[in-house]
Amino acid sequence: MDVLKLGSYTFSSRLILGTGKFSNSRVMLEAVRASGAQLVTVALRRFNRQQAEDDLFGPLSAIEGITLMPNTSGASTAAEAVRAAHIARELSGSPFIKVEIHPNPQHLMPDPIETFEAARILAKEGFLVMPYIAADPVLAKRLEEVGCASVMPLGSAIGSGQGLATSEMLNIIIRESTIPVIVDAGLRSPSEAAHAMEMGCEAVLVNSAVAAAGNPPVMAEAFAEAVAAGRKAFMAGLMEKSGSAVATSPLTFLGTY
Amino acid sequence: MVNDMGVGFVGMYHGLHLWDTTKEIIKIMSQRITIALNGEEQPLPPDSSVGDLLSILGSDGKSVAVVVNDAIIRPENRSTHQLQQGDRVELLIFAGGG
Repeated sequence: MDVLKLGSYTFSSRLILGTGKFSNSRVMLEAVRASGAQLVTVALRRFNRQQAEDDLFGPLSAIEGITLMPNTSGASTAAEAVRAAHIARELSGSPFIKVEIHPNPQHLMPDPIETFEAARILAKEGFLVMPYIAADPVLAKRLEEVGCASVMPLGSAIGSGQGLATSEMLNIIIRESTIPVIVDAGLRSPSEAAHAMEMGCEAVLVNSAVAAAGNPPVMAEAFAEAVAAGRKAFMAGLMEKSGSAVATSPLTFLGTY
Repeated sequence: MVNDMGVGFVGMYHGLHLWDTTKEIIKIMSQRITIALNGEEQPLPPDSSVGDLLSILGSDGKSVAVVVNDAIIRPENRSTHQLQQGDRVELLIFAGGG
């Protein structure tokens, strides 16, 4: 069976869903169910007595087959990310950690140096490290070498909906990588997710594209179908491209009539 | 816990001991400690444990991570871990995020 392998974990779904930016938790939970996602991201936030109902741990854990992947959002250094990872593991009981260190809120581009350092430390501590990175093949290789479970290069800026703007670099990362490559960030439409899968990505992570859709649960389902179709196409093997037309029908019959 | 009703009650039925009781209350009040809870001042009765703090906040603590002075306090240690004056306490939960 074709499954996504991350550490000793296997997942039949190759769609990872983010839980941010939804209008409310009810819609978010509905979208998670509709997506069939088995890995979902969550963020750490300070407890607030007035907003106790915002806590997502209970409702998400109640969905069967869900593994949580906390992120280190809010960290701007490796030390902060490591600290966040420890706290997150305490809460989630999950070894997955999405290392996300973006010091500049204007563009949210990940800091490669701090990300590498945090990933190195956390991988050594036994975390399944999923680093969110720019589409940099050299950095991706270095992260693989320090024991990350995957690399998660961005398709375009977080929440921008600009799609696979980095596809040239993604192709190199996919070709060179021996760990799963997961496109994280920037996708807007299911066709882009299908394209990423056809390119050979092992999974995609979407959040805004579903959360900010007109109907999030239906969009979640559309992404699930697109990811599955893209994966199937990749496994089937796409035909070679040709610089010129190649006929699919015999061209000789009319001429010899 | 001490409250206004308690003072009135004690005062009415134990008039002679009212002053002693008041002194006791003042003593307890002056012994209250202050911690920094998620960056904000929070007064607490002395000898409060992490578990006491969670009940004061109305949390069962199940999905809350507790960090005191940068050290994670695991659930099994919360009822015995006493908070001290000036402790920095962070309570964290999972919220939506991508």
